[in-house]
Amino acid sequence: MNAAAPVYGLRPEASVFPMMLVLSFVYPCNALCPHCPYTNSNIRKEYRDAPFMPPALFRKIADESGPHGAYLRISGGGEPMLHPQAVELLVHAKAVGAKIGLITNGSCFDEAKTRALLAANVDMIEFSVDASDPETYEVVRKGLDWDMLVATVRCMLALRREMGSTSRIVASGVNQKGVDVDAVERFWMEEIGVDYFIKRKFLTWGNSTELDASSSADPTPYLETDETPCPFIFERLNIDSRGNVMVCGYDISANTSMGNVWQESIADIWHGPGFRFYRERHLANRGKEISLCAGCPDWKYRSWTHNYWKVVRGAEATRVARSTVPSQPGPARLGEHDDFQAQTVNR
Amino acid sequence: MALKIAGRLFTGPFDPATFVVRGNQEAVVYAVVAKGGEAWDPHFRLIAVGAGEDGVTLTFADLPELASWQTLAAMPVSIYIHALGARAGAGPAERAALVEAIVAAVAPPDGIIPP
Repeated sequence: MNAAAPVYGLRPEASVFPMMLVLSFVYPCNALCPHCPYTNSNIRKEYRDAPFMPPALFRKIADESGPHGAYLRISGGGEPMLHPQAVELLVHAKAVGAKIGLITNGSCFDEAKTRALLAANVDMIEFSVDASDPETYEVVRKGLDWDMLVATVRCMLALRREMGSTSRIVASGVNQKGVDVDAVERFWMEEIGVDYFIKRKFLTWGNSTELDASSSADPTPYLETDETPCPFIFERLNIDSRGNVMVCGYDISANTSMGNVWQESIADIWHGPGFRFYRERHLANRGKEISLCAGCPDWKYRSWTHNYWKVVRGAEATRVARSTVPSQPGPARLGEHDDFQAQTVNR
Repeated sequence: MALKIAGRLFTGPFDPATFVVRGNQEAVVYAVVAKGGEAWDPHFRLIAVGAGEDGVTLTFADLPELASWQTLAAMPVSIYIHALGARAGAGPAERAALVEAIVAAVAPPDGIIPP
């Protein structure tokens, strides 16, 4: 490695505890999105024994994460707001010091729920929008209502202003064929006024789903897997509704088990033999000797720099700017925010 | 958990001692799989593959091959299934074709299934 080459390893913020815990909070969903790995796999059926993360498990995760200020990414196999105790649990996590990044389709909010989350200053509320018009939305967010989505986001933005909440409100879209993702970005940034727009790569989750990579509108990789370790194992882990810890978000079928949160502390799992194994192999440029990683088509779409932390910074900058300037939304933000799609391979 | 074998998603693992595909359920192609390695780095080996019949209950504990599968695997085996029956517009010929394709692609009893 020459002097100019980047140095990889456990991120300083993750040296004790993961920076992010991606939680499969819910498996049921009220939509049938064609790009969704759960709609295109048998995973939901396999979690019929644990469709919702048990509140006791969530509280244990939150209570361990809180002192470290770790992010709980609330996503997983379905719509998180379908969890019967979603608001209560997310508010609890905030109260004990955890950060919350909620990913939602926006179909299950009412004013009371919105106010509760904003009052708790949930750190990031991401609406998976994928469209800028009702016709496209009907295809890519099958089963959901465009007018309801737009009204929900507008309402949340208005309530945030009224309440002085610090929650960041962002939108995201998968860059897939049949969708003009730039138009989607313009609509949500300029017309609606969200804090950030995330352009997501179309991922297939390889052997876990029947998704077809040819649906991607931009397969340009973020990194070269022959020379760059996967960043995820150095910053985050994934937990399903049974408490099983998977090595990363690629393994949505839970074929790996790094430990179980019911039986071990998250910190112990994070520094346990499983994660050490993955990190050592990846740092030695031997990641492809691991069968799971060798077959991972999504590794190349991860980045050490172009990532969630960048979204957090960008969204916060916009939120702060907008909170001091009453006239919003406005097109000026578009030029300032970073495109989530890397144009070149990150070397 | 899911495994993709020769491009098809299989659901499992099921314990062959207790697992039954009832006659009123969709007929399946089944894979007999041995899971080895560490929990965090599992290795899946395809021991055998076969197919059920429409309208006939498939009780794995009753299959005479069960003992030989376990001997071949040198460890307990699990069953993974892929439904391929009338609801999918498939019959015995389609199931046989898939079994053949899997044998050609993965080569049991030593073929490795990538997770």
